[in-house]
Amino acid sequence: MNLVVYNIIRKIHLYASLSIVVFLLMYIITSYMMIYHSWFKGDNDQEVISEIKVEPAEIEGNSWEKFRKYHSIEGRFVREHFTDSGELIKEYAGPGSFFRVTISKDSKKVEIKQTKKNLADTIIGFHRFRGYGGSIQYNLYALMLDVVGVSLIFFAVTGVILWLKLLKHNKIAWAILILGFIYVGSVIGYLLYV
Amino acid sequence: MKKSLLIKLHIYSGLFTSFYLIAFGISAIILNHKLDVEKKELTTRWNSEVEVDPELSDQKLAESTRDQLGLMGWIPTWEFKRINDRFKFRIVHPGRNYHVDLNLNKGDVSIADAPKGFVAVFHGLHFLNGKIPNAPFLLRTWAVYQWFTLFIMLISLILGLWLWLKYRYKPWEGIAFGGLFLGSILLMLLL
Repeated sequence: MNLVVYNIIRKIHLYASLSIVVFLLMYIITSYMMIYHSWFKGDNDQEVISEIKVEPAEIEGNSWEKFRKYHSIEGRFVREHFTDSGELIKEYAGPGSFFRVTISKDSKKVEIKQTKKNLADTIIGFHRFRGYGGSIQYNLYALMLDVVGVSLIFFAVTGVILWLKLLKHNKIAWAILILGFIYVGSVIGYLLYV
Repeated sequence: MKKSLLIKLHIYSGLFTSFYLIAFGISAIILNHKLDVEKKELTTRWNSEVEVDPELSDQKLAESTRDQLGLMGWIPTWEFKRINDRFKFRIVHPGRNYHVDLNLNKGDVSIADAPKGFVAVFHGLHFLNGKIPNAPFLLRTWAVYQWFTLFIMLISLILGLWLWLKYRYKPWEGIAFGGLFLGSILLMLLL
């Protein structure tokens, strides 16, 4: 490997990691919070339910977004479905809150159930939050998650290439890589075939 | 501490976490795009016999059947189905779905096996915590591996940042990536 190629790979390795430092730190911290979830038990989630009488025109078509903003129904749209009794359920979620909106069959009553997560669960909510859709910040976050995914792959692969250039004959490094491969390979093999 | 020693530590810790990082990266993309990577086809079907205790609740009965069959996995309680003298449920782990059909009178049990495939297993490493019911020692050690991997990843990240700041720092990189750092925090606050 000549010096130019080596420097390009080193830059990819550096920039891939620098671009995701915040997310990587967040994922490491929240992973430990999930592992030791019982240590971070805060207050119970708070539920607030409100019922609103509406005219169908207020919540149909383009008016829905206006209604949503007026009643502070926040978060990214998750899904909607009809119940057996004909009510329409719409769900919105953010890292710290969850909204379940139930619209009556005749579109004259809306029930908004807001679940506010405690601080620990809100922080963990960033770890679990994903997917495109909704307003610009949600799409930007989803884009960053794609950047994180791609960067992690580049970061790991270029790291191995750089190691081969710098410490190819280092036995400890080979031992760590081979043992890691054998262990992860054994776990995958067990889950696949046993 | 010497630069060469710091580089070695950074490399050792990076090599230790490399497989996990690749799995995590692929899994993050799969989750973000809600890709369904599980294979659904039933590949094999076999029959067996178990003892049925009619006094047991559905969950206990399903667990007892799983244990008698020597299978590993969780049992989704919301999928329990009783149809006449038959009890149907699923046993699931990151690599497989077992569809179990139990005859409550005779104890005959039919198991349909649906392996999820390599991509699903690789993706499943993201969620694996080693606590699958009836998991062997090898899989239970994953919790330890995961704990150390996260810790070593943190060390590798800090060492890498230190090496960059100490020996390779360029002002434009500081401005660009410092901006991205603050921007990422701002983005999280706006959610």
